[in-house]
Amino acid sequence: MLEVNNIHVSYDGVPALYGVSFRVEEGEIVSIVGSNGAGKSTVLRTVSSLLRPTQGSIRMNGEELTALRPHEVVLRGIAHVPEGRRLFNRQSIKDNLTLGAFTRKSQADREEVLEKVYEVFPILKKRLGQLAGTLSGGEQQMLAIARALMLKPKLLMLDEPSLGIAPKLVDEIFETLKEINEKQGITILLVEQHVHEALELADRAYVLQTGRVVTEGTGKELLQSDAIQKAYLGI
Amino acid sequence: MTFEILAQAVINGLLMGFVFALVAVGLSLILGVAQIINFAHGEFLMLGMYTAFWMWALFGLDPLVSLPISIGVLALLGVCVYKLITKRILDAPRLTQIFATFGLSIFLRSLAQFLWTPNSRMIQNSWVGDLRVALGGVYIGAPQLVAAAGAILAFGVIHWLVEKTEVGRAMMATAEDRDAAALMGINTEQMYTLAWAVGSACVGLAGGLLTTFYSVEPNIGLVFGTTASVVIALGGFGSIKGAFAAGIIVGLIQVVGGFLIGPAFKFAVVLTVYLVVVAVRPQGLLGKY
Ligand SMILES: Nc1ncnc2c1ncn2[C@@H]1O[C@H](COP(=O)(O)OP(=O)(O)O)[C@@H](O)[C@H]1O
Ligand SMILES: [Mg+2]
Repeated sequence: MLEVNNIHVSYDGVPALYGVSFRVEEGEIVSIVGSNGAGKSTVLRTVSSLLRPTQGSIRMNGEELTALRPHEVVLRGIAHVPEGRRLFNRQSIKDNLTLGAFTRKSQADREEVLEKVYEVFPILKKRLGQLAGTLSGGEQQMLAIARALMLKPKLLMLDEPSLGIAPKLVDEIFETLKEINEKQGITILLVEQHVHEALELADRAYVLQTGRVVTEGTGKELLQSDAIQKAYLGI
Repeated sequence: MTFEILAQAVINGLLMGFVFALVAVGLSLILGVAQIINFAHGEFLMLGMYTAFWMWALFGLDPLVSLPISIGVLALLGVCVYKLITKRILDAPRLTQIFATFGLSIFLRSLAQFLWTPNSRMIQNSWVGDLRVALGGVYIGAPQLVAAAGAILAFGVIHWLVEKTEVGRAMMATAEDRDAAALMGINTEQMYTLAWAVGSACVGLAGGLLTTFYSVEPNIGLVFGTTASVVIALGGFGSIKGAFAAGIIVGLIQVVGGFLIGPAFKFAVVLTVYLVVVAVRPQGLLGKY
């Protein structure tokens, strides 16, 4: 589905990614793990065309994405829940969800997606009028995921959904991701610092270190490999 | 007698305030959505006034008739300035952005002087030019009344656009967080263009309306541009409702303050109030952040 091939990305001439390659197959959950500053967010921002690679290619179902603008990438079925959630804090839950449905023109279509999203996050339906900025961290993360689901994506990319959230809620959110993947058939690309949970959830995973992929394998393999745990994951 | 003079000053201030408000709403929209302060906004107004003047001088069109032309010309100018200049410096340092639009303001002023001489020009015999309404001992000039009505109408339309339409919501989302909006599938580029078009159209309308009672000269933008900056600072940067309310307040302060202290000081009064408000409430009167 998504094929990222040898991408190089720099910020003002300072390299952040040195030739990163990975792929995500339809229906999979793929995790990219790595410590702070490894380049995880940069990878997702580049896939979304918020950043341009200086080299390399990104293909979605065979189509090259690197020349597209961010909103055009969204139209190809890729939703991105950014790091820190980036909700429209001055707007209500309902308005945030409506903005998520910006690309759907038919009202009936919107209602249908909305009902599906409420099924996943019933709590949001009860508080539609509340301003996004007044929600707790966990609720904000749910809203951010819900807003992305409004796009009816084929591929859902999440940047550290566990950031700033109580551990109990982290488990809940990871459960939800599994459910979204299994029930709705949405492919997931997850970027995380919470290595253990991310590897347990993933079908396959990549370990990113200072802008390079250093290891890959199934989630299980990486969890069990002592060498990898000591060297890269610090568990 | 003095009461009537004061009442007259209040009415004049209020009516002028609506025009300030319209100019400021345009500036605020561009600042809020496209994240850039257009220091040439006053010069845009000047060009709006010249458009109306030349439509009258060359084709005999009344400024009220040529309003769609002034609005259209300025919207187009806004789009061109965005595409040719400010779009290229969106991610440049603040100082570069300031110099770019500040330079543009000087360029447009000089260009107007070069093309149309520094002389001040006035439209004669416009439809509403000499009419006025008597209200007790107070007179309300028809041109000012029409200008205020036009400003209120325009604000109503912009408010509706922003609050009630899909495009307006997308524009506000872009104002709040450009990248997050793009990730919702919003074409942020289009929203920036739209903000420049609508924001500049505001001064096209204001300029056309002003020519029925105000003379135009190349430096006219200095006063209006500076006033608009003060207005949006008072109203809270990027807040459209705040800009409109603050515009009316500034109009009142200017005329009433001028009346109480002396007409020569009317601009000084506005700036003094501005300094006090900014010192006490830096986010502006109605600003949220
Ligand atoms: N906006 C930016 N400007 C300059 N450098 C950045 C920016 N964002 C990230 N970087 C740098 O790029 C590298 C990768 O960062 P990032 O992708 O945010 O890592 P991660 O998400 O894995 O924590 C880091 O060295 C970071 O300092
Ligand atoms: Mg990150």
